[in-house]
Amino acid sequence: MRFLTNGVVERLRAAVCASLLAAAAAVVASGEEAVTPPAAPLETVAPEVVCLFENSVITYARRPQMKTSQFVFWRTRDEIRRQRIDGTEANYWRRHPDGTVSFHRLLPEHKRVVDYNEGDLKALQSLQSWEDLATFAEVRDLIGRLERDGEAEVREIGRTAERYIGQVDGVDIEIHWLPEEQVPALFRRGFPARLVTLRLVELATPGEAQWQRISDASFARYDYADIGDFEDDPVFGYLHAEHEHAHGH
Amino acid sequence: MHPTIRLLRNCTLIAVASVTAAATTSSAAPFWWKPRPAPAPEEDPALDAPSSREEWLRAGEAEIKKAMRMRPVRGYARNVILFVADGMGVSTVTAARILEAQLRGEPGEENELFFEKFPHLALAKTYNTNSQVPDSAGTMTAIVCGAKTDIGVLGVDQDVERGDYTTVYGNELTSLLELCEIAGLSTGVVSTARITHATPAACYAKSPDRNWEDDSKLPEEAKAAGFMDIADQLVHFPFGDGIEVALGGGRRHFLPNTMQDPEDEGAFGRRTDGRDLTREWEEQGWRARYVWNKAQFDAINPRRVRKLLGLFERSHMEYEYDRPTDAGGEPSLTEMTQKAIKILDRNPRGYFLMVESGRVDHAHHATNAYRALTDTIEFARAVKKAYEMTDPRETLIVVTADHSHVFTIAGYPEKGTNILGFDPLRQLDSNGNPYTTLGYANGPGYRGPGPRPLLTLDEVTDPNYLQETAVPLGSETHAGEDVAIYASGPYAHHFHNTIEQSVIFHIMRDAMKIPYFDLWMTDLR
Repeated sequence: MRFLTNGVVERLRAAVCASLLAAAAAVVASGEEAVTPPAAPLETVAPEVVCLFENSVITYARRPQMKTSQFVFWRTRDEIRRQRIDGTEANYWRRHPDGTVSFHRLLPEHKRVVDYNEGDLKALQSLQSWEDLATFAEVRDLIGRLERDGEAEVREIGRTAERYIGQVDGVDIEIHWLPEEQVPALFRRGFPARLVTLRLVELATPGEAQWQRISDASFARYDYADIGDFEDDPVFGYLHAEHEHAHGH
Repeated sequence: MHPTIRLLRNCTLIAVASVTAAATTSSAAPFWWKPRPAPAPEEDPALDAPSSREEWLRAGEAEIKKAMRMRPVRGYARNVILFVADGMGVSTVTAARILEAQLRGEPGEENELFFEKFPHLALAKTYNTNSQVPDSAGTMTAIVCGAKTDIGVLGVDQDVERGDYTTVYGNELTSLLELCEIAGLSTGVVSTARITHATPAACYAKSPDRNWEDDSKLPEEAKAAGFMDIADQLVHFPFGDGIEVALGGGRRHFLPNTMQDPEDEGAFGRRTDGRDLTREWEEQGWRARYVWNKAQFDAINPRRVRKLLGLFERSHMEYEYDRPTDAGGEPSLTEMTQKAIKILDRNPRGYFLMVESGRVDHAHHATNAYRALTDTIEFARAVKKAYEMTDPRETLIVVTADHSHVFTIAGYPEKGTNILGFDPLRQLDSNGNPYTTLGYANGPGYRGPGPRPLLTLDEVTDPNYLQETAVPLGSETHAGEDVAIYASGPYAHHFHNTIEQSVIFHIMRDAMKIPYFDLWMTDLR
């Protein structure tokens, strides 16, 4: 052991301590939780608005029938909501800080909400971009296939809108479009057996709107992926039987 | 012989015997010990597509010779790995094997998923005691507890009233996982669904309702009586030294509603009792760890961890097709299986592991065949990994499903046709429009009541395409036909005929030579 002079021993001791410290640091570092960098702020694709729409369907028959319903449309930077005026149904899309999108269907009578995450939406072929959701993509796509026909007066809000008319795939279509708000004032489709009309009744900003959003804070939450397991649930039984899909109609 | 020499000789013999025993019962064998390699599954010569009658006849004769070489595996099962693909009926297996090969550029029909090579096969009747078409809770209870039971209940017999906690007491069934813990083995549950969802929960929980995953779902009277929710039962498992490995989704059921989720900004836990069960898991000892993303998962050293809880999503984990885009990063089913085996195998007495591919079922409910089949393919990869990591002479691997789905393979497409597509010459409906090979009897893929759409191959082969259904429903249903059981290892030959699903438990238990006795003689608390 004579070759181990004091200097060599000291250097060996320092090297061992350094390696132990490095190993300890590595163990600690491996246990640290991954730090998620803050998400970039999401852009606003359309102005915030609150609209009251009326949807009417006239069925042609020996005795024509008309069914009418009203719903409120909210659009904010990170939420797009549709809610029946009588509060019996509501749903909303939400955009999250990481850019992902989720859909939520409220059942106010039963105080339940069904959550659809992006994976569910993809599996249901229902995932859409935020821009499409926020700006009535179906209507905008049809506008591209129609002819501009001057302006139309929108008496309900005392403004004029861009008027488009034409026929697409055998369906007569008329659209009155408000480009500033990115919403339709009128969207009318004439099918062989029925006439479907969506009409803007009132227009406001979120701060001015008189309608209250239904809060789901106290609702029981369920994942869409689990609905298939609720075959004998009295509430979800009807949801199980109800057919909903996103195939453009 | 001189006493000193005798002493040296005896010490040497003892040392060699000890090292030999350690090497055969532990993965920590000395570097100079090379155990006899386990036999690989026989390659099937028939997979090289016979193209003539002579080749077909020769392939048939080869099968006879292979059958004559079959011998039951002697000895008992030190380990049992139960693989369950939720909703993987036989049609799903067939379509997945074709897709797996077609993704490699092969015709597909001759392919076999890895577990289809296992030598022993049986069919299981899946009905629940009160339902002709079952659910996962009742079926998995049958598989791991040995007795069929009602739809929607976990770990309890058919005398329980669904939703009534008072009827649980005295009607608890003993699961194989519980018996293994009592016998000193290690245990684990792995799933791509929530780890508190029906299939994994049936292994360790007793509940009159499969939905009681956290305390917010318990009725007030059950809470007041101290009934434990499913997540609580996992963390505070009362037998042996507790479950060693639990990997899957369902993080929200373990965190209080005041705690923000670490991955999903703005989302919180679901528990109303203020408890953080992930912290309670880690309080089990300095070698108990909790992870929630892939980086942490990868950093886990199986030699340093005795207990591992991994919760990689607030709810279910991603479909395998979508997993690469997950924000926090998720391990695959194969990776979770591998890690679990490495941890559990350190117990010289052996282990019981349940691995579930939980989202084949969900994709079928959405009538999205692509995701159902790609999850099945990943499931087969996980089985292959487990087989490669274990010795088939001491590990019984059982592969099955809890129930089937109304998923069909129809029409007369030419051999080699894209399984997701259609044969434009042979698959035309009464109006001359093509229909796809894959379809569902019911579900959200219904296109009516108007005329069927004119399909294109690009559209129907898209991963997001929903196959057409005959009956409109918001969610496609389970199916009631038998499911297959594939088995390899000790006592695998006991899987034969058409059996009740509950018999699976008895074969696994018998293979492990663990005696059965009723553990539930006292109150849950």
